[in-house]
Amino acid sequence: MTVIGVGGFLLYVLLSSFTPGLMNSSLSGHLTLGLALGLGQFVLMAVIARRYVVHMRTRVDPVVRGFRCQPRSRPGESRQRLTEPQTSHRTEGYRTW
Amino acid sequence: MVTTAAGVGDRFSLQLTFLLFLSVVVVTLFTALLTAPQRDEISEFYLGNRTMTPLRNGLAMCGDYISAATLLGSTGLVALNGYDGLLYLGGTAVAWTMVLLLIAEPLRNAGKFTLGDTLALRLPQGQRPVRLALSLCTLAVTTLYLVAQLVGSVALLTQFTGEPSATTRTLCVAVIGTIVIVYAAIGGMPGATFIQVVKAVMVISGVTVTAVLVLHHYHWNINALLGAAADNSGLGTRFLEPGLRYGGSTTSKLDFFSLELAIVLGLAALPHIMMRLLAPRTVSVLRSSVVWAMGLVGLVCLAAGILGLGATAVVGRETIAGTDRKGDAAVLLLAHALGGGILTALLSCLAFVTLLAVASGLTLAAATSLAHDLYGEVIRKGRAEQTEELLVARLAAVVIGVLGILLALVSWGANTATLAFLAFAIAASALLPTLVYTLFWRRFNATGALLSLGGGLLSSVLLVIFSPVVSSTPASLYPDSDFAWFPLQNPGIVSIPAGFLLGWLGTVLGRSEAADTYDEFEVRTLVGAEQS
Repeated sequence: MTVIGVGGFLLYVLLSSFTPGLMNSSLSGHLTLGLALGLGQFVLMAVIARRYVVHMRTRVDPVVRGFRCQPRSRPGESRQRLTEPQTSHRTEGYRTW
Repeated sequence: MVTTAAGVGDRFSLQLTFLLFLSVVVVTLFTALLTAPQRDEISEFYLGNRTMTPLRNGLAMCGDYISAATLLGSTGLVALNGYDGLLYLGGTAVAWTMVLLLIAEPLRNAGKFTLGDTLALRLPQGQRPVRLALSLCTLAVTTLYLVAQLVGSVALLTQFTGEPSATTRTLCVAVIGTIVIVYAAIGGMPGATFIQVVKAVMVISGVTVTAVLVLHHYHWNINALLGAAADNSGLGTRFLEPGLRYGGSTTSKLDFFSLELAIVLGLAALPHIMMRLLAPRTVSVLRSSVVWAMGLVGLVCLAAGILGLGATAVVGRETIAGTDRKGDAAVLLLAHALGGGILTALLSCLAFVTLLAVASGLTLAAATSLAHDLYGEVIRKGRAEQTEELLVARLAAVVIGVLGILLALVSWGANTATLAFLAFAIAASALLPTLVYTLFWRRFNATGALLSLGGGLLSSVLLVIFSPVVSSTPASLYPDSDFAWFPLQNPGIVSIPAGFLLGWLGTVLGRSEAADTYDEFEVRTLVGAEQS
């Protein structure tokens, strides 16, 4: 999703630089396609932020809470306890974004 | 710079600005003294009040991020260049996506006071040289940005009094610098946070009210506003089309892309922003804070765009360019046209407070890095007492502040934007690769960190030295000599990939870390520190 957010913006900059004809096609009055897409970036940002928050709340937070409940092992004591929940959280969708 | 004797404001608004500025400074200084850390604890000095609400945290982040350059410089860019200026504002806002999605939560969970702590947790083997390189990069970024802010204060003063004399200039920089030092050295993070929140509220309300005034002036008809802006720009519809400033050749298009790249990627790695991300005690508070900050920054950027267009529509491009070649006067001229002397005074007071707040945040970030990474861990090897480290942090804030003042006095003629963009480029090409690799790449090791930090810093600085900024064009620092073989003004497009590439190369060549370090680190980035 970061790629969509940041990449979308960079693509927009490139488009504006290299295809002025397309971006100047008028939508209504003085509002050109380029200006509308510029506003679209803000909307896209809001949508991405919303999706991220929902994703974290439903998918990641429960896993983290499960982690917290387990006794945390200190480095050097026993590593088995650490590795076990780790495999489980990876399958449950960490880093799908 | 073409300036009429009185610049933008008349005598009345100059005095009113001074009065307003003075009262804000007095109030915030008192509060900074009252809220100053009493108990000589480094965590309080570095992180401040850790139980603030998300809204207040978000305001503080927004305050740290919106500098006077954004407020005056980019609205001026919009006013002079139309569409290209709007693109620039878009980049300023989009950068927060990166912070929210990629950096914020893992960094806060794994970190303690500085980025150095995160790296030390991840790369325990070679932590001292890495901390050293890291604090060097942090110092480079913060000092450059600090000098940019202080130089900006002189530019702002120019708007009122015309070209200031050497004494006025020195006095202005020295006074602003001293206030900054007091905030940072005595108030620490609690003091800095307070002034950030105050400033953010002022900026958001001030900018929104002015934008509403502009829209009201055109009866809430965006089309009429765009039309009037195009008509009064003297360029017709070209004003609303891309390429007015950066469309000349492929080189300038690439230059613009390089600038946007540095802005979008550099924000996430600015040291004073990272310090803010570490402050909230729980992850959920941090998440809502960053969402708040995103919303507020987006609002300010939209309003700034409207202000820029409005300035051209109401005042006219000729007048703006005539008052200040870079367009910094656009907002103040617009305020004068819409609301008379009082609105002008309010907005210019806003700009001074903004300068002050951002500068104190930067000084604090630099002092933290010096005291914690350089002194505490590299020189004293982690054996320093808390009171001792705190004393060093306060002293470091004074030293950084004085250094900033001196550098600003030497380079007062430099372009504020150039300095700020160089700071962004260094952050994006030295700090960001290290940060991203640290958080997300299993094999990353100390050699890679050293190479990407050093390489990113060197490549961006060297590329700027051999660019048109320093030599070969009439506007550069040494117009007479010509050693500019690098055609772009902004090094980002080359130096950011170089930083990432060097980090990869160093990791492949270097000795790998113990296999389980990353596993523990990854758990920690999810769950957070034990004491939290």
